[in-house]
Amino acid sequence: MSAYSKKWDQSLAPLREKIFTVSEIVDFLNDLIKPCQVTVRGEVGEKINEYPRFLFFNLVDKKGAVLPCFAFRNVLDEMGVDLKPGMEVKIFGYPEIRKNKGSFNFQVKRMSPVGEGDLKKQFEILKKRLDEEGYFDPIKKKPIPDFPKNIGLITSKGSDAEKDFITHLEDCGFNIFSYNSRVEGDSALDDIINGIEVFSKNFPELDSLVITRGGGSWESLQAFNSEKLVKAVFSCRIPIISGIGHENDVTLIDLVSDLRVSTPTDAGKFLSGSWRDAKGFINQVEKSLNGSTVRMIGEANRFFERSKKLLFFKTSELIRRKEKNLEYLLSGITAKVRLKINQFDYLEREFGSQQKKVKTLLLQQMDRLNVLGESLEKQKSDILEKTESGLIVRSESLRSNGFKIGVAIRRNKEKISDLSYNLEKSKSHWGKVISTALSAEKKRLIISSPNLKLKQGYSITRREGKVVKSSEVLKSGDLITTDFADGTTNSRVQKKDD
Amino acid sequence: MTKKEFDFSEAYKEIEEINEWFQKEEIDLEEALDRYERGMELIEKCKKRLEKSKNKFEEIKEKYSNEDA
Repeated sequence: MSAYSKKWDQSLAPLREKIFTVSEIVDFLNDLIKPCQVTVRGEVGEKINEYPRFLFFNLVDKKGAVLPCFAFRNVLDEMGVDLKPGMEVKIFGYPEIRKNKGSFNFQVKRMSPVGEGDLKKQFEILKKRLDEEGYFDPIKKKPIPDFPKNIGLITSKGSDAEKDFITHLEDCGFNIFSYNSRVEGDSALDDIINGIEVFSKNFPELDSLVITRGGGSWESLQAFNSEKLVKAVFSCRIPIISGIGHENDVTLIDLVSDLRVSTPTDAGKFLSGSWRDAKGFINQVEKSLNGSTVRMIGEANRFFERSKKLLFFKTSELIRRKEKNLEYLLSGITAKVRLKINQFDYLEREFGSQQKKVKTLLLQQMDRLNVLGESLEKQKSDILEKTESGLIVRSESLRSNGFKIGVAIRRNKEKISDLSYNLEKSKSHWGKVISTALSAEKKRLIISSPNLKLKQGYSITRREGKVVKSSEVLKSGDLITTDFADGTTNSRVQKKDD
Repeated sequence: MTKKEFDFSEAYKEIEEINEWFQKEEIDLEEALDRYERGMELIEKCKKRLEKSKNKFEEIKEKYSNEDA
């Protein structure tokens, strides 16, 4: 007796005395066996009884054991393939005794093929045909915009696939429109195709439509190997990204979609990629532009500085040259002015020496007159002494003569002192005249000089050394001298026109 | 969705062009300043677009499946 039988034996012991009705015992047995939900693997038997809504078949093994099975049509549809004798399958369900027939059946809730077998063969045939019909042509693929924003999503709501996709979709301002769809079994196909139609009709301007689900057995991905889905994806105007299962799971939708990514995660990463790259690129360009511009402005500034220096140097050079010219001109003018001053000085000295000569001459005249006076006084006293006694008669006349001489001497003395006074007076007068004349001459000399005047043909006429300023002083027969620029001539006045 | 707004893609392309222009051997200072100004304006806009970019999520099956059914 096995451990199971022992347990059953003990638990059923109190019922040994009980008498069941048929219904009661069938219900009782079903209560016992129906909770036994298990997965069974085996081969489909030869005989399959198909009805519109359900079917019967046997699951057998190599030891000859037989498990009668019952399944509703939808279970078969969800598997995606037809059931054929000899096909190896896994079934999930529970055993049950049919109350009205008393037959035992395994109620199949889910079933899937095991291994590749027919499925693979079927897949390869379809793939080849669709390829030949041009559905997988790379040229026909629609480009995904560089910066997708409005995204359609067809996946199973709340699934890991949905979570993975959304988690890896960075915050790039996406508008995600999600369409909940079954992604496994035969009804998944209709859901997905319906989703594509909804998006095409209501969201024609989507940047991309993502159809995705997580990894699973090859059998579970069969909806994505459907010819109907391939055609729907091909004719959709929105670029479609497929991300089904794992890297190795290539389904027909992956071949027809505009872009295939491996997983829902990759779909999210792909859509975020260009935005993330743009952030980096824009920051880099910003730095680069700032760098270039700062560098250029720096270069321009250095150029201006150099030009400024050069300009300054050239201008200073020019100013220095002009200054030198001015200095040269100034020194020329100074020399000329100094020459003129020298000429004035000479004239002044000349005047002074002439004045001295005149004074000396006068003093000599005065001395001579004094000497003459003294000699006359002596002669007078001598004569008086000699003739005092004998010449008393003549003394009167002599006295009168002496008086006359004294008067004459006095007059002469007065004349001389007058002359001397006049001379002193005229010295200051002439001094003024000359200084006025000199200052006038100074001005005139800038334009001309006496020599120049003479050279121009003017001449100076003198009589007895005095400059003749008027013709009135000249008489016929007067001897005159005429000064020219280059010499002097003597001449006599012949005739005078009044 | 159909509302006309700042076109990030176009701005990005222009930034790429400006960046490429700046890679030239010899560049005119005046034009460089114009392009710099334009580039910075676009960069500013793009940065703003990249900053305020929380994703929005909307379930649509219930809304549209009835129409389709």
